[in-house]
Amino acid sequence: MMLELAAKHGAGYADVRFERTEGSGLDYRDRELKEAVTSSDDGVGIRALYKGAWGFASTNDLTKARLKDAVAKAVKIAKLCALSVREPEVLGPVKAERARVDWPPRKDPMDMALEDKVAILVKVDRSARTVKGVNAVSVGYYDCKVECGFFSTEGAAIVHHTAFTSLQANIVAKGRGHISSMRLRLGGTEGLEVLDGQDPIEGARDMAQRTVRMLSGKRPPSGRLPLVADQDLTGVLVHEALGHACEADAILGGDSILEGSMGKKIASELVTIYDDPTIRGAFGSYPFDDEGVRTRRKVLVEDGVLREFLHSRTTAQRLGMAPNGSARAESYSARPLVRMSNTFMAGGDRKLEELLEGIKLGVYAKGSRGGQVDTAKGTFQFNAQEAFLIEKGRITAPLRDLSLSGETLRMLADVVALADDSRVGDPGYCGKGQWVPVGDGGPHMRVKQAVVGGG
Amino acid sequence: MARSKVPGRDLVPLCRRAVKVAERLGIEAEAFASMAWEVETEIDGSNITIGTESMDFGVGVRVLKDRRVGFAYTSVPKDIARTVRNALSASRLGVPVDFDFPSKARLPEVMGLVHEDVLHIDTEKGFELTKQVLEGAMSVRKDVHVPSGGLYYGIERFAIVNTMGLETDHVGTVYSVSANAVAGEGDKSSAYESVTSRAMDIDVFEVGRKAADLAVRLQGGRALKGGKMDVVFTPSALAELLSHTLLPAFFGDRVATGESYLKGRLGKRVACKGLYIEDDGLRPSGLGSARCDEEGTPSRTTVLLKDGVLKGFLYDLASAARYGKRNKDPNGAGSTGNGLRPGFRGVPIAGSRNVMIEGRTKAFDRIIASIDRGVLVHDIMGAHTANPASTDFSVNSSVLFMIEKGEIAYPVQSAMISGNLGEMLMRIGALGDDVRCVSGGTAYYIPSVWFRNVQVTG
Repeated sequence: MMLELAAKHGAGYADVRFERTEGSGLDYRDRELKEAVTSSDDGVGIRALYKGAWGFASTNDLTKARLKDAVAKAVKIAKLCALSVREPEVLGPVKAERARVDWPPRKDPMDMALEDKVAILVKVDRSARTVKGVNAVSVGYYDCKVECGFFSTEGAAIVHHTAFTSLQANIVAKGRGHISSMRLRLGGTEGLEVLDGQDPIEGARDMAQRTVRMLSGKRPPSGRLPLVADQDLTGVLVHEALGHACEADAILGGDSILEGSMGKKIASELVTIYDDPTIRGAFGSYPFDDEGVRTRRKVLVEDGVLREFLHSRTTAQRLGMAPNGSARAESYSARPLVRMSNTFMAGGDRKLEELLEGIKLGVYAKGSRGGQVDTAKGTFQFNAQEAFLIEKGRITAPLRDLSLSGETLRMLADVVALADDSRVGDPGYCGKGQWVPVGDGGPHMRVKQAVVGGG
Repeated sequence: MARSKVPGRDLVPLCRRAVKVAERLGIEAEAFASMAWEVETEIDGSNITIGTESMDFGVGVRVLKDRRVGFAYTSVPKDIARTVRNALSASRLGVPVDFDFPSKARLPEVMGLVHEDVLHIDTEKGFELTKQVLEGAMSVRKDVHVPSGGLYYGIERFAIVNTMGLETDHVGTVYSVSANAVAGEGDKSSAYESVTSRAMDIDVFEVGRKAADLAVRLQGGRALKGGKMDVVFTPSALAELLSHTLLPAFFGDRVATGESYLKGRLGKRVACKGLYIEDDGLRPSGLGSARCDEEGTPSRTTVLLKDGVLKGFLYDLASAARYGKRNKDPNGAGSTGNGLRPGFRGVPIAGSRNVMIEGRTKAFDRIIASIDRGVLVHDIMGAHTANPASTDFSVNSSVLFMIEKGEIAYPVQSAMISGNLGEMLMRIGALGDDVRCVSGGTAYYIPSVWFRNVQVTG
């Protein structure tokens, strides 16, 4: 009904996304369950294209009148945009898929009572608190099942069912006049089997010990020093510094340092980087993107050479490339944007010990508290979650609040060795006006020099 | 104005339905419904490529059973009864609480929350205004790119009905303009400008012009020789930093959990003499203003810092009942009217409304003139990596200028600024005379602030 109405209003193309989510979330802090929320949400987003311009409207008021209103508004906005559009948007050709895909959880979170989920959180909390020096612990949990429908005037009709489950523990330690904090994250596009892969109870104890160790951390040195990054931090660097610059909307907006670099060498030849939404169970996976494009693995950088950007149908068309299923929307109420999925660097052939060899003075940095980049300038800044000094090829004293910054291309060129231990982990949410679940990772990586500071 | 003129559903009946279900079950309950209707036109590159309209509404139900709280929400009206029952089963797992939902009370009036001109912006007018943002940017230099930015306007609405007889609702308009401008080829520099108001009183052309002007002035950034030096944060850079360091330290529940460096320092000097910080839920036309907070407690003004001395914290119902007394906080006898929610999908938590900072003030130009060596920082990134429990931070900026011998000397390519904000409050040189509203999570009405002796790394 909505698609026909959009066409009647004059839209050249329109698509409708329906989403229904049922989920539960728990927040256990200070030995108390602060939040136990069950929810149901549904809504519809409609996107209309008129003479090269988009209009978008969404509503979770699903009365017939309101739906008609939303269609009319989407087309009206598109028509107004069309008046000023200089470079009309054209959809890159894709197959109009008619498919139903289910990624059912092996252990359905809906089958577990809220009480039993709480019991897991309590165990994680207790496990962390067995470590002396731990001052505060918070454990969060979220699961949901999502039903998505995608329908377009080109004839696409896709329904997919997916599930998300995630658990996060934040641990704060206090002592010696300092405070340190770390975070453990598990998550996947699956059910409670997420907790089978890595035991959160063991993980929390280990994390707690490491958090306490950071209290005795020294102030990091500042200046340019050799850096060895662990898998999680490599993942964050890959995601933040390179991945965002590969987003084709950034390229077209004049907001990426990689503009004009396709096919050129932009990194050390050791560097190969993938973005892969098809890894079953990984947090950033999805079977179809939010333009109805079937997903596949993308090689962003191969042996140091820039090979592929991340595309929506329109960015692909504009750059004369093929759509590759990278258009994602946070929910029915958001229009799809070019986004990453699971972004990671392929491993090398060394061991961690070999990476450390020959470093007189450097830093070993693990994980990240998050980071940000300026994709136009190609600069980045991150705080490592955990860090150590490297002295004479050995990991020595812990360092407090290490911060890293630098230039993306210089860092990528300065990658001098990679370990053979690449993995995709560290589930998180990437923010770009909208939040989408992503995974990132890579191997242990040695960089000739990076700007370090902090403490 | 009559509520009926505002677009969208009337939320009170929706809340009443939930409360009626609760009454039949014989439990105390509160229904909070919210609605956000917004229209957005976005700039992408050098044209307006997309507009969006969205309508989001739903209801969150909190129940109190045997002094335990349970919560559930839905955006599906036919699920309301089920949602009340879900909240009830969640309450069995909830923590014991010692508060009641607020009863019916006379709520203060707040002026300037609804501006009819915002309600009457039609789609065409929205596009016209967005074009002016672009024109503003282009007026500086033709080759300036505006990769993002635009116009946003809409209505926020909420209603609360509880079994204590409280029934109230809130309506406010929001109007916001932003531009992210990029200048230069090869050596690119970018700058962001954003202004938000309850009324259509923003010079949209000026927003585009300012962003572009800053981006152009940043061209030819030089490397910086690091060290300890003076740092002036503009209001927008300061707001970003405060949100991740100082501000959370005032939130009642964080104090109790030891996640605030201000714990146990009530009545003590925590900042330089003369520094005054307040949170005002009643500020006329304030972006964080409403007659009551989002659990029905009347709004008020709360002094946080006076003459550099810590005066109090901010509480919602739960944190006041549990920690306010223990903290011996004169503010903490009850909620300070700071129970805020992320819409109907979340439970209330203590947060700030409109934050104001005052103190020893100097004209902005005179501050610059007083600095022998320092940086003027317009924007920072990475503030979210700060440690809110200690206020240690380390942020990067590529939107900054070197100050030498009392003059803004040249743009700096990029620098890292690190320190401890709590300690830095003791080393404030002066506040600027350039108070402006910055919105980001909470609303700030703050000036530029000059800090002495801060670590800056090139």
